[in-house]
Amino acid sequence: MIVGGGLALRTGAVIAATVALAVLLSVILAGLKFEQKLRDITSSRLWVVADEMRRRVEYGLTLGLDLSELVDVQSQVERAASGAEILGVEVVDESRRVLFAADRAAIGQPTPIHWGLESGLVGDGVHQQIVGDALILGAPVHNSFGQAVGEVILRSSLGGLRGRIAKVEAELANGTFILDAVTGLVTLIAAFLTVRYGAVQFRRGTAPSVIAPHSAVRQRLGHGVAVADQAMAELERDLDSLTLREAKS
Amino acid sequence: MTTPGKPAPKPAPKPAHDPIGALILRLTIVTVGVLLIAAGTASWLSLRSFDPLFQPELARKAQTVGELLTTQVNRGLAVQIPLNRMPGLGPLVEEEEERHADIAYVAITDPSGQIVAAAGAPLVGLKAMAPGRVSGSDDGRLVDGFIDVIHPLGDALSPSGWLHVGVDSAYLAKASTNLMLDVLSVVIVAVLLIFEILQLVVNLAMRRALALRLLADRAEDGDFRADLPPNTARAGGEPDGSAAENADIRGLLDGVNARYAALSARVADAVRQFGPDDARVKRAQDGLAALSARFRFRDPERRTSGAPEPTPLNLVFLRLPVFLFCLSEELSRPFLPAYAASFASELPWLTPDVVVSLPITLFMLMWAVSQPSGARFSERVGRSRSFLVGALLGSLGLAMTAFASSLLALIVWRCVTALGYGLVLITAQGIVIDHTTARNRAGGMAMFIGALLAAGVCGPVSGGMIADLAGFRATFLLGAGLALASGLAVCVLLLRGRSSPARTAAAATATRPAMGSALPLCRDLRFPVLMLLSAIPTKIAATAFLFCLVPLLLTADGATKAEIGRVQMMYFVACIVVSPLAATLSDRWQMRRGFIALGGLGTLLSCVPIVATHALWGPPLAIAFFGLSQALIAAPQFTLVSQIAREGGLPETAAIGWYRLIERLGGAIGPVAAMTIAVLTSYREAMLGIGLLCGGSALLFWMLFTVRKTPVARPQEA
Repeated sequence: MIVGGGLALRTGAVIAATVALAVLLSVILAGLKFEQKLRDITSSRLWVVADEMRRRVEYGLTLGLDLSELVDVQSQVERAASGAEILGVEVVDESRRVLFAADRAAIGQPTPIHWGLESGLVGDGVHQQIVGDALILGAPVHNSFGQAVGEVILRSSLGGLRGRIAKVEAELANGTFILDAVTGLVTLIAAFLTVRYGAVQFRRGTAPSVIAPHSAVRQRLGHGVAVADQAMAELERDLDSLTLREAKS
Repeated sequence: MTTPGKPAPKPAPKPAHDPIGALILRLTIVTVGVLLIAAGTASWLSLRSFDPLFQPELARKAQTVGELLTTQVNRGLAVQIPLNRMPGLGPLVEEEEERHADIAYVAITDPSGQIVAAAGAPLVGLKAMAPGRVSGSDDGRLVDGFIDVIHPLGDALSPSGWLHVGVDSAYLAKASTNLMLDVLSVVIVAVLLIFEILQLVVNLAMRRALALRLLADRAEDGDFRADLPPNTARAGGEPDGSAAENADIRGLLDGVNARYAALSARVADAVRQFGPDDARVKRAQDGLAALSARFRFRDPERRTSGAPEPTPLNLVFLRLPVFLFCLSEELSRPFLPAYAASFASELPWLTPDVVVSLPITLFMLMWAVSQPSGARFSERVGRSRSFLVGALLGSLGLAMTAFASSLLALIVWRCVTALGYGLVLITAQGIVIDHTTARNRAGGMAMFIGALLAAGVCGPVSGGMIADLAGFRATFLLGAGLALASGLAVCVLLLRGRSSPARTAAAATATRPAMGSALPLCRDLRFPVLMLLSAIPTKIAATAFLFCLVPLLLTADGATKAEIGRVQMMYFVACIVVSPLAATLSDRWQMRRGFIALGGLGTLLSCVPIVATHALWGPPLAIAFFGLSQALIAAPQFTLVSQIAREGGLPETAAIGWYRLIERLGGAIGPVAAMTIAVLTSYREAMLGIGLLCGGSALLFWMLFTVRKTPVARPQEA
């Protein structure tokens, strides 16, 4: 039968394609993981800024003032927003109305930022979500009684980071292409040789007889039929004797 | 019915081992080797490419932290407090160092480099920190390993001291353990996928040889109904298929069937000629009936009506559809509890943990309840349609789960998914039963269970990674696509153009419990003892641990979904490794009761690594041990059910049907029980509680279950 070049090539091709796909997935996974790690570092850096802002606002609240009465927060917000890649900083109250913002036009408006299912948490209950190229962090502000009275929201651009990652990914893609091609080829050859080895074994007669279907199947089938034939022969003899007796009578 | 004097036919040679299995094994070993090397190289390539991006990013982080600390210290310096007398510097740097995993140390030194306050392992024991030592002195501890960001304290021109923030320059490599585990998981999943694909490819390529082998198997079992598949000659490029060989085999089968048809005609003639009351005719009729009972021949009417004879079905082709379908459901395993918890705010009068348990419990309940009606449905509409309907229901359920907008919608769509899941599984078992005989049914079921376990290994780990990277919704939608693909696969691979074989009474009852058999079963006290003290607690633990407590506990501990998936995978890996061994040993040593009791106690012990430690290795070890314990129980429990039925003279299939139904109802109780305990205590204590239930039940089972030393063959259904 069977374990010839056609099967060897076909099997080799399927395995090579699957292995190449797995290698490609490994690189993509590694790339995504590293990108995520880089984003985590960026996010933790911005978290430091947001947390500091929160601390300052909460310090103001300990003086007994209402969140909207902390007039020096506006200048702090503007200073925090001047950092590199930071797109904006806002402080909202519990009804999510903007009280202080680096963009003064936003003050008094409801914030468009809400924390959905896909948002994550980074340290101390700080929410994080990525919308397009923007990384958004939200640090809840608590009063002296531990009640949440608002939130510090910080938006930062991931554009620069993504640009740097894209450059690395472009270089990595070339390496991955070569690795994938080599892996595919090696797998194809290895699988081909493995299947051909089976074929050689078969030709030398070391493979089990079941590989050669006709002789073995013929023998097993013949055995099954012989058993049934024997059983039928007995019934045939009974019927023969019945017919014979009837003919005699 | 052998003829005296005539020697019995020589037994046909049996194959020493399965050559296709050996070929697949060799190919799998070669593939694993290549894959490990390639995946390792791919990871190294990625690490090398990304590493240069990390150092500037970490330095920026250190810069930001340094600036904020400098501002705070400068406030003290501004009111003329010298550094060495400034209170709270030590706690300040310690707190800051602890808050950031990527910061290796924080230190404040005076202008001469003497350390005033410091935190971080690399600085332990150091008294001074001259700038030169950080970047390249012979100290040996801070050399070259760190990016040291320095800020002047006080006046920049004549600083009162220096603030050092250090990040480990090998941070990426050291933080890549998680990534390495992810890559390893990809390799495991790829290997299992390759194994599944190889099975399919090799079996497709050898389908002529396998069809012939199945013919021979059946003929040895006395079944001569099947014919050669019409299109198998020289299929797949097989070089040695020939029309003459096929004609030879066809001739043998046609000959024996023709002889039987002639014999039937002669008996019918005899009945007509001598009347049915003639003793000799009765003897001939009895002989024909005995022949029909011992052998299976083609129906002459079927041939005259032009209907084709059924060709043997290779059950390997069932593996891929079942694997794909189960994979679709397993993908959501690591995050389903967290997904359900996101709807908890809708029902403020229920605790989030109870809300989490609702969709899981109702899924298990719907699955259990749908089994009997699902079996009847698949018998009525046919296996192909039934599998397709189940796959479509599963696909619809998963797709709509992705877009569920409320808890009610989530529950409804999970129930629809459960209906599909139940229907597909019961139909797949039906296909196995339809196309196997008592001799090879265990092999067919092993094929089916192999697909379930492979999906159990691949699903959670892949689902966790996909959910981490692409979100819940994308993962559910991918699952919906896979469920749909499984329906298509079963149509294309298995049942296209194939008429359903005639159903036998045994096959009809094998997949569903007969209602009347419940009472006689319960009269033997061993059955209720086995169900109440082993089957139900075991399933309670399985669903409670695996589907609820482990994902929730790990989520609460801050694990990612990929990490949760990896931990859940350990259960199935342990099952794959231990199940066959436990089945063989429990049979060989006739120690089924002991294995079941040991498994129950093992379930209790498996809680120890989670309850006693918060270490990273705790959950995977606990779940691997839990999988091992469950694997010890499964086969002996199943064999005992069969034994009880056989000893009571009851149909085994009905007993097995009841056993499956009862244990699945136990599975439905698991999440509710776990979450109720968790609401009152904690996830860890809930695990311990369920573990104690299993351990206590196992001891009671050991005491109450009486053993009768009857050797029992391995049952044919799983």
